[in-house]
Amino acid sequence: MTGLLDRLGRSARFLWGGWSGLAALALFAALWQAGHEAYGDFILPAPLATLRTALNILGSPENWAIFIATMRRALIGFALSALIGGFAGLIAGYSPATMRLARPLLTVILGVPPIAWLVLALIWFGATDGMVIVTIFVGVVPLVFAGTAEGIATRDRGLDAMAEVFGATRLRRFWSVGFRQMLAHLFPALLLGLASSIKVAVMIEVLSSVGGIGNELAKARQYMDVTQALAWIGIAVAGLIAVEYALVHPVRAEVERWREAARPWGIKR
Amino acid sequence: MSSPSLALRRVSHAFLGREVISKINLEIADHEVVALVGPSGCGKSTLAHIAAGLSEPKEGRVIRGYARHSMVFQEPRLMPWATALENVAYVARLSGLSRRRARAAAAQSTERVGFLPEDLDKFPVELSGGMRQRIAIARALVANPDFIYFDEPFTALDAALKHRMQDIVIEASQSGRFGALFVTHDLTEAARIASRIAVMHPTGQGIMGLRDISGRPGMRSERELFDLTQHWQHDDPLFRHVHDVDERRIA
Repeated sequence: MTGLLDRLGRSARFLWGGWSGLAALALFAALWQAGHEAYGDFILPAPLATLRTALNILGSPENWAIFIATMRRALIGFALSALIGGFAGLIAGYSPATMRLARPLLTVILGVPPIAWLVLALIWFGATDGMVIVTIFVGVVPLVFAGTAEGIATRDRGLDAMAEVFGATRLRRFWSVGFRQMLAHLFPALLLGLASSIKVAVMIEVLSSVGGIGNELAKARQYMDVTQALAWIGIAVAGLIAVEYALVHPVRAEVERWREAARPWGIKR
Repeated sequence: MSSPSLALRRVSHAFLGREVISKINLEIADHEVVALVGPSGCGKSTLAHIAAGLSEPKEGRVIRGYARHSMVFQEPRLMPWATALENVAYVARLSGLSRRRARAAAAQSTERVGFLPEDLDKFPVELSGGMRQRIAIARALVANPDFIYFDEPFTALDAALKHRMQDIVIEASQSGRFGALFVTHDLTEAARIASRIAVMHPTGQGIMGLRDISGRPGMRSERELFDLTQHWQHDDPLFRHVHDVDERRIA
């Protein structure tokens, strides 16, 4: 019961924190409005007009299908990268030899711009969903890999020894000590990976004709329709925020409750 | 002496080819608390870690006659993401208790070391150093071990707090009936807590000698403790190098 109340309290605090987010958005909108008034409708349409267009767009089911197509590709690519990158990172974190082998590889892979992978993937797979997913995968895997490996490699070995002395098996030590420490590094990497997934998905869709939000952006460019372009950009960002706050943040808040307690301000029990 | 609780036979260990301890022989009887002293860097901690099974000796044997051991480290080593209660319950769970019984055992164990019940739901970051070390002691006691390793557990605490913590250990060792290897470089601490004191060679070349400490731990007066440590430091050749410091050797 107290656990539930506690959780409710934390959720309420989190929602209350939304005011500051809203304030930041309002400030952003004000700057945007100022830009609009200085440069006119053609260069920078008003934020409210853009919002209306975005709502209009979301009024039709076909547009929802476009939105979902992009989000689906991004999320599949992201999920694959998180799984495979996370697993590989784990191995590298526990095995220094693997880490030494992987590091230069990572530098090479991270050094190749996503756009280059796009060209290769287009040649190999053609304009398909698979092509988009592979390109996202190549772009995001190193991020998750590095986050996981770093998390495991920099774990507090003292805690490992503590668990060992009290009789924890290797597997138990991993779950109770290693994994928990890895999460601290993993979450920032996951958030970055999620944002990159959506960005890369949209970028690929702009450059190749596979539908999705990017395709709409390409069309808006052809018609020089800035309002339409901005509205779609807004929709893509809203999609990212929705996934982030519906999926990643609640898990993170639950797992990293103690960090909240470490803060010098806020409500303490 | 019945079969010892812990016996080290010609134990040697090396880090990167440099021998840090060699040919250590030591026996600890059932329910006996032995303090292990020696200058910083002589390999006391290494020896305790080997005895506890945290590292393998390069040579020699460790014979453990006890059923279950636990350890209090120099730092509390609490899991930052778990509350005080959960940190203690974790070890109770490892010893095979169900979730509910582990929490009950943890609450009982924290009470034993004088930890305030209202702080049980706090995370380690919210606790003071002394409170954290109390939790570390409670954690070491929760599974009713019959042997406990103390690896300079109170070095970082101030004098008054150190005194309180030593009392907790003395009290627990009398009611809990466990044996212990208490690593320390503080002779007064050794004199208060232990029934025997072992002095390690300054460069880890074996145990130089042992001294029985008369009277029971906790029953010795401050005067006796002072006289005893003064006697050790000034008249007993065994303790000549205990306060030597060569910080270059401290790993």
